[in-house]
Amino acid sequence: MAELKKVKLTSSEGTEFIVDRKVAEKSVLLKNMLEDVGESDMAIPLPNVTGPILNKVIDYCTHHRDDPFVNQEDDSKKVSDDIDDWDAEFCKVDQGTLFELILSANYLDIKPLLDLTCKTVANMIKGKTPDEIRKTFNIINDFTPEEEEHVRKENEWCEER
Amino acid sequence: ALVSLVNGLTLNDKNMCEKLPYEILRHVFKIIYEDGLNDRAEMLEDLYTCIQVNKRWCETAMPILWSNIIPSASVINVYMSFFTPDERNELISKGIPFQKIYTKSTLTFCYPSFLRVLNLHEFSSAIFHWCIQECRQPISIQYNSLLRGLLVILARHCKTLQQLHLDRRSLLDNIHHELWLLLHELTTRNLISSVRKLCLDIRKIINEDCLKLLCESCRHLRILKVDMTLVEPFWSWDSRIAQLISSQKCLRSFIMKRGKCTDALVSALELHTDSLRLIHFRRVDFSKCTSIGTFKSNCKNLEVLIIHGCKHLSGNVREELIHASFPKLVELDVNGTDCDGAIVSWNNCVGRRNENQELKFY
Repeated sequence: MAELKKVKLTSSEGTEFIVDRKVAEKSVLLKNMLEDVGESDMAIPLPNVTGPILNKVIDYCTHHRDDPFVNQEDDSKKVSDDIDDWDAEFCKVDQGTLFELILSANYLDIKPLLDLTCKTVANMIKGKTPDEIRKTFNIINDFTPEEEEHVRKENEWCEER
Repeated sequence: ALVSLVNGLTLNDKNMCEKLPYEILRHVFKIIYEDGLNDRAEMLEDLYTCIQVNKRWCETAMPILWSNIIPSASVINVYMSFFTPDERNELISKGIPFQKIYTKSTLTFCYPSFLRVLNLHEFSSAIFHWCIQECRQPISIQYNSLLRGLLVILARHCKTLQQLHLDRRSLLDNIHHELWLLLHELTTRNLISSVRKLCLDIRKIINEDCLKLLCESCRHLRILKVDMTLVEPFWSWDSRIAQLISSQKCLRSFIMKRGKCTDALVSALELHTDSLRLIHFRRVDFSKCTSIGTFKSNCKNLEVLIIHGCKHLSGNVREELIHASFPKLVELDVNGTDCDGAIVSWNNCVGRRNENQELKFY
């Protein structure tokens, strides 16, 4: 049996990860780099991704290695209640890790992971009041009372039934 | 369940949310928006909440909240704030009251500029309901003046309309020629020059001039969806659709519901064999189609082919389809299509040719 091609990745702290090329190619960024470079034993540096996050990303890509490629221009709907059990378990992380995963998925261009993590954030927002959202994400309200009132009034039709 | 599990966890870095780039925050709000297409009330409440969180969330979520027409009379109040003083005076003279309308300068955002999807049925319904609430009966003059005026407002402020929907049939159809209203003035015609997706009940093309202007104004469609359910027999609708298809630069998806697929229509689609990714015929009559032409060999990028519930495919057309080559086909549905028992060999043939690809048979 032919040996699976391996790829070396280096996290921001210099930790080296060796993964199957097929797993690495779930990232469009890495896929393009590998195609440009051709056959090489050189490690690919990923200065924007820490070791623990890269480890999680590799877990995700390994689990989804055989999933069909998702067309970037596909206008299919991003529905947030279609998260499967494995993915739901994968996203049970603290908020810092979740946001790091979002940034890494964006940087590495892994659309399904970006969708999954953003869906998780969307589910954290739904059904909450503005104040509950601010508390959940530690967001400061920078509206003046007048600005807030204007925005609310101009859009109060949203609450019409 | 997922929501409570995530919320219950310890937070390492509570300021991370503020560091999310604009594009990602927008992606999250788009997910909320798209989730709500089935339950609009809940989605609107969630986005309404988002715009009240802080300025950054407000600026990011607002274009998504206003990207589609909401059929509410209150939304019409906001759009009406964008009339100039002269336009206001003219509308007042036609019996349209402005007492409850803000002035543009007092509004926080240029809301009409956010529009991406214009459903003319919902837009005209919202105006109709506004007139019922605010104007003295009869309302026909006020309704028509306001519809025209607001289309001008949209054309003035919205430069990147993506989708135009003229596909809802309603009892008002016979008196409301919205497409013609949109097309016959140069100002409003420009509104649809950027449209990429058009959903069209074919009866909205009320005359030859309307068709000509539509073909001239709307040339960059990627998705064309035509509904020919209720066509009048004295019109040769296929040639009109063929003209609309021929006027496009690069069509990627063509969806047709009912009506007749004719040689004229196939010839027009042949102009797009390189770009077409999806072809969907639903309950279409093929009795006037003698050949699929160069489709059998030139449609190299076709990924989805649906010929669902169609009838009267000739022996020649069936034969051509069986021997056609669609190297990128990943989804095929020929369910319910009248093939005189040939459907099994047809499915098998396509399936064998694409045995390395995932085929979905419904």
